[in-house]
Amino acid sequence: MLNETRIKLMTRMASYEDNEAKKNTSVAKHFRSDYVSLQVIKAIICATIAYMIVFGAYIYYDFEGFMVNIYKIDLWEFAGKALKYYVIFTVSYCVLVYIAFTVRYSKAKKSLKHYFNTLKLLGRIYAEEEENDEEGSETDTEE
Amino acid sequence: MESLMSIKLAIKKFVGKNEVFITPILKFLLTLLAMSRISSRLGFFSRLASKPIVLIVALAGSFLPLNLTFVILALIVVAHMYKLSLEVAIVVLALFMILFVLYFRFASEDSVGGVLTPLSFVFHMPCVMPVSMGLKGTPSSMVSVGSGVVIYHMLHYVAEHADELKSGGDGGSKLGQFKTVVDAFVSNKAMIVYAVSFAVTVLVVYLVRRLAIKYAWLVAIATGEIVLFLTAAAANAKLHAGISVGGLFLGIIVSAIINVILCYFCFDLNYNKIEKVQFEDDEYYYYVKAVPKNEFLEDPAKKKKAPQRRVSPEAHLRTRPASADRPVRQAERPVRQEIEEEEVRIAPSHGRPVSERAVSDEAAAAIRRTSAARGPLGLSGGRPAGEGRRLQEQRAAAAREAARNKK
Repeated sequence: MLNETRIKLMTRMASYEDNEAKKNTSVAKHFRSDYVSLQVIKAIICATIAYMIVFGAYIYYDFEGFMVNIYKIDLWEFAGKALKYYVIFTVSYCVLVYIAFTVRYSKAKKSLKHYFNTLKLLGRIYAEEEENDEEGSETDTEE
Repeated sequence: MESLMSIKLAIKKFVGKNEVFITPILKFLLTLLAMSRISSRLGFFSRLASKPIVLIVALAGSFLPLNLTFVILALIVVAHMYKLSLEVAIVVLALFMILFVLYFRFASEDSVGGVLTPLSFVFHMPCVMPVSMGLKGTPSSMVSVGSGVVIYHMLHYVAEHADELKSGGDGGSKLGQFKTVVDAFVSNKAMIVYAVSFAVTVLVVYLVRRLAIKYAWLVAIATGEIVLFLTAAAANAKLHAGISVGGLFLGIIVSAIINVILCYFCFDLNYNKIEKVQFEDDEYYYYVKAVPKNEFLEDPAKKKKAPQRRVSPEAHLRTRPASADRPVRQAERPVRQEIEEEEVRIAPSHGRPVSERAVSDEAAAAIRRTSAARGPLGLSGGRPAGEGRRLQEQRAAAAREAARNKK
């Protein structure tokens, strides 16, 4: 027999499975520290690429001046400065990524927890329906 | 107001039914619009600007995710730039790479802001986007809207100065070209004004619309428009960016209208029917305020079509057995009590005794006006479901019994 509550729950769960479940499952299958660390490592790589692009553009912007002054400037000091900016940039980006992915992880966990609770509820509804069916069949046989 | 509600419900129902077709069509139109604007403004690569290619890309965009469409559009822009000048292509590619690597890697769902913001500038309605993204997005939308501003101004500059860039920029050298583009990009004050004011607006709108206040979305729209106007005007005055304040004001009015329409479709609550409940469990005490959505109230179209009472109140009274003789069901009680009270109130004025078969027309009319005519639950006309049939059956049984007694 059709149960309206059960159908509603199943529809909602199917929609969740189609849309967010895959993403959230891939997030929640890690431990929080593992997941966030992985994202921070990726962030370091991305920040390095972005910094290299900006640094390359900076050098290319005044390439003639740079080539003229290359023997006059203190290369160690220049490299130290570039490294300092790289560290500042990367660290601040990684902090942002850390916060964003920690929030995302906790949201995914919460969402999956809600999904599993709904799954349990669905199981209970099925069990109740089976009980009712059994009772119905027993009364029929008695009659 | 009811007709507006009907239109809204009809649109929502139509979109809900045909979502499978409407979403690809909308994505197709968005990609087609973006591609046609790119081809007309930056059509340096004639093969890519041809109509068949534009149509193919738009068709691909109709079923691809929006993020991938954004990447394809970015690559097409870079290809056009490459045909104009290698240096310009490098600058634009670097810009897109930084955006993709730093931002869209972990906030990919906001790429719609990156596509729609340049288009809103093309249609001279840039002020719509920050408020809309603040309403529908998250704080990270401020970066996608800001990226859209940067992309538009970069491409706008290249389109405006294409001849100059083709001839080689400052000094005609490759380095000169690069320098010209970067200088123009960094010193574009209008871009800075728009990027900053849009980012602030997105944040303010987001914070206000999440407040637990009445008409939060409308308040957020009003606040956002004011903040946008003030920040843009102040930054414009400070940086001498050359933005027309009158134009900005008009844009803000248009933005307010469009966002109110958006609010009507996405966040239409009925604050007159707020329900407040309190309950507790083992760990918490809950104070809940529930505001119903207007769309979940009764559909006015359906309300008009609701079937009318088939049985008049007089007929109902005439066939009713004497109140003293019959068992009164709990659900019927309020109606019947009201009817009896009404009979008692009206009948003495005519000097006639009250009987179950002689209720005056005036009394019947008065009863029709009372809440008794609305049914036992006070909702809609008529008796409770099945009561008519039950009464008929009772009457038939009584008639049969009487006949049997006579025999």
